[in-house]
Amino acid sequence: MRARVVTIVSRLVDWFRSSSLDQEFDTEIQDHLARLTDEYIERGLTPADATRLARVRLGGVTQLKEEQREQRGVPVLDHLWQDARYAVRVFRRNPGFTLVGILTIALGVGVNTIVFTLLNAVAFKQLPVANADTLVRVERWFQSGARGDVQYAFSFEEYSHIRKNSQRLASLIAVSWPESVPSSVDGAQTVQGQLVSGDYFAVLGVTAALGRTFVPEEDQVPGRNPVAVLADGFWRHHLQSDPHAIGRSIVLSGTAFTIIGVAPATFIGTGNPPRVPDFWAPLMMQGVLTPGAAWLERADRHRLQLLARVKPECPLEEARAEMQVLTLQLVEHPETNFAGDRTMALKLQPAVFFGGTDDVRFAAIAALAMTIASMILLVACANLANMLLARGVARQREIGMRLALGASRSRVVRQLLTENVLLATIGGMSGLLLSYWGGALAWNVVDRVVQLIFLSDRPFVASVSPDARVLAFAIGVSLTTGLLFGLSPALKSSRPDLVTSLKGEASAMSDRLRPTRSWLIAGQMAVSIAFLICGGLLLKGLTYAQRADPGFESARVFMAFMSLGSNPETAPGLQQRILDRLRQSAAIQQMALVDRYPFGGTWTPPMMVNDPGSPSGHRSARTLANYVSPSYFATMGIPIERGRTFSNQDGVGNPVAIVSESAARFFWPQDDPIGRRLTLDINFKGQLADFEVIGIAKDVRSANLSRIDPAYVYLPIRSGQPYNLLLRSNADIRDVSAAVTDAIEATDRRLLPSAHVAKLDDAPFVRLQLALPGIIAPCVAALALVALLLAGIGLYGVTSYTAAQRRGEVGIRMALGATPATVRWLMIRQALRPVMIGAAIGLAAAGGLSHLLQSTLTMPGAPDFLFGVGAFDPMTFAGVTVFAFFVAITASYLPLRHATQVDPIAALRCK
Amino acid sequence: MADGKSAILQGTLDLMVLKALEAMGPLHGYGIARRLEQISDNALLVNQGTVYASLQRLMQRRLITAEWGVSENNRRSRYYTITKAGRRQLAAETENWARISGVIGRLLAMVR
Repeated sequence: MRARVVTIVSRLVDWFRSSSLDQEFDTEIQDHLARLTDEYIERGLTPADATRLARVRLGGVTQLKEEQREQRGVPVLDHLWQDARYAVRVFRRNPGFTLVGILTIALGVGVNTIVFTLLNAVAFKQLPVANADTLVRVERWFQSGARGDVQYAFSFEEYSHIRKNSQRLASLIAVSWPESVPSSVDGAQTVQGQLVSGDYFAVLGVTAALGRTFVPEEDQVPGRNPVAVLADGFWRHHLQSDPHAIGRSIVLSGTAFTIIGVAPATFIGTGNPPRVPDFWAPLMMQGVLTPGAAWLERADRHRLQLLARVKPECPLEEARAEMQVLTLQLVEHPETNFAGDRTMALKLQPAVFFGGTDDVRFAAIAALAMTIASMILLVACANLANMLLARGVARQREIGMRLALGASRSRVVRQLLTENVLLATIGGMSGLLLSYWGGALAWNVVDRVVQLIFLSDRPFVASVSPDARVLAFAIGVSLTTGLLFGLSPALKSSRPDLVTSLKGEASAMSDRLRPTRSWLIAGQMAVSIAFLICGGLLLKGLTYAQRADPGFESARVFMAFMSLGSNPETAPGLQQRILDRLRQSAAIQQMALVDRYPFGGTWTPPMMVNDPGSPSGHRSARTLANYVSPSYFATMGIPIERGRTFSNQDGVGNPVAIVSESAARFFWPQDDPIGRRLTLDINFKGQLADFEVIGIAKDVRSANLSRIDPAYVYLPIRSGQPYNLLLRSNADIRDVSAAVTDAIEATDRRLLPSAHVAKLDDAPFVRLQLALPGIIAPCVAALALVALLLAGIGLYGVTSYTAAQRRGEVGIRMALGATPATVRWLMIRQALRPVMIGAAIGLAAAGGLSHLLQSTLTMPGAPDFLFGVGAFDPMTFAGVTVFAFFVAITASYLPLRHATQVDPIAALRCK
Repeated sequence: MADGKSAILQGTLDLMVLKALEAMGPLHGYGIARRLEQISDNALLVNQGTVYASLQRLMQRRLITAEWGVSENNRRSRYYTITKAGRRQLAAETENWARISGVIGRLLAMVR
């Protein structure tokens, strides 16, 4: 064993000196020859004979040198270099083939790399702070299994408690969700800021680009230190990068804050939401910045995100265990529970830019995106494999010659494989370039979606620049592709029958490869068709979306957002006074209170009615439900078809409900629902409540714009609670805003900063639901067309190659009397067989996906991605299939036209 | 590297080269080849060039070293010398051979 190691080391060392060693050996051989010659001369031979015999006795000099080189150095590396140079020569000889190969792979790898870049920016890239790998986010898990932002929300009391009692955490920092505050800055009426604990910047290791950041002393006493750190973007934009900004003051919410520093441009915050705020201020300034909505002192207000660093000597597991203990302590304070939902556990998650990336739903979406991208890559690779196979057959003479001259099969395979891997790598690197540009474009798309969600005009911040991980991914994918899809053609091409291949007759081998080619084509067709159907359905859904009519007059409905102060006792009273003032306003025609705004999230409790006809005696299903005030229907413009609306007496003492038409049809198909009873499971814990039906409302789309509410139950609001305010007005939004502002001002001035009015049509959820199809559908359709294009190119290439191979056969057929048309028809039929198989598979796959999509619609609150287009829409399915076949027939026909125009005699002679 | 049979042949040749160097002191390639021809009656070497592969192997295992020197008649030649490790290897292999041939000898005598 040791001997082998020593040998390997020697070989490596010698490899670097190979040319000088070559020369040395040459001298040695010459010396040896000279001595042998001398020996023969001494024996009496002539110099000429002596030289000749000396050479014979020594052995072939060239062979000796070759053996020496094989023995010395690292042959593997030498061969690799040789193969690579030869591969480049081969590429240059066939520029067309090479270009198509590179483009194909570039497309496939490019798409995959784009998806991975996005994933990387979202899930893998750590926060752009110091020692990002030791930073963790605190996350809580609820008894009800609630997911989302709520898992990262903590109250100030919880933050203080954990901070005081944790021994395993080196530091714990808090940052609030962004707060909008009015400001005095030119061009920025409202600015967004985050309230952070005094050690926020210090723990993150962020030093100010200008001035300084907070010190813990500034975050001790409420309202004492009105200081702010500005974000770089805000400082550039609104303060014109003033170098003397430090020490100036900026008025926020009516109070002058001193600017003590500007954060560096590279600091983009700690994510969740991934936006850079305009400024940061100490936690203790909360009461000053948002006076109407105090939450710092309230144990039931959870507005802080917590990030922490674990002590280096302490393993993460121990810190997690400590969290567990602290959780139990927290649970003992009933005010800290979220409206009765117990916190089961606190977990520490590595802090990446977006909060919950170990969320199953996120993983599912990520997996879906990667799968789709991989499909495109597979289609591209299938093309490449087919092309390589075809080239391999075409090069049979060359390969046969090399095998006949003594190359071992493994050597030939290695050489072919090197060619293929090199091609794939060049293609992959081009794909990486493509993804660099394409990634920026893709990010724009994602950015627009997120802007719609957050209703902001601030850019979505994340670092999309390719980093080492993306590069490694691209290289990995290229190499894998090259090896995987280059190995099989290499193996297949190097197993020829030497005699046949030297004679130039490759048809036998070509026949042997036909099943592989057919399966590759079938696979490409299947993927293309499945994709196209999805794209087609989504596009059709897009056209439906443009005409989506909510069913009520959404144009005249406005949402009035406001805070009602920090005291739950006075809130309903405040709301009542505001409502009274609004009633006097000329601009407002109707107003209503509602628990959930239309399109603003859904509540789908289980519902049950008595049904003597059914075996169990009940009919039960989930339904959409909402608490609304009596004037809701008038405000929204929803007619009550039968029965009456709520009156002020309805409510807790008189439990009644109004159902939608669809609900009526579903739950009482035979009877009149009015007067019947229904039962709802109010809080998913089995607590049932009965209601009597007093009216039927017209069907509308108020949960999702994409579908008519499958079933809706309206319940009367309960008194003594504040609700969301809906207004109906014929005026424009400025007048409505003015009316609301006046009403609030007259009631309680402190509530003013948090009030604003928005049109229902402009609500972020509405805009998103309308805009999303417009973004997604073209993307999917574009990808599908790419896949089909690749498949078409592949089919064209294969057919033209096959036709060329079968020239002899075509010649014979035509000589025996077949017309060109007959021959063409025969060859097209054969070419289309794998296409048909592929189409069948693709249709089946699309059908499966549609079925999956349809099954999501059983939840009444789920949106319909297709906006009402049937998941098995026959027009789309049929249309796509016809289109795909058209492309396939064209792709196979074009090369055949040329092939059958051949003169039979010439074709036969060629054979 | 090669199949078993030629590995044994290679090993035998290597051993002979080592022995020659140990017995005769530093030699150049031609000298080693002549010596082996003499001893084995031309049975061992197909052609004289074969020694060079053997010499390369031995050099890689650090059992011999090579140096350029000047010969008697002012020729520049490369001389190979056995190293201490080479001597140890030679002794070990020699002992091994002796043992094996003894066993086989007894075996063959027994079968009779």
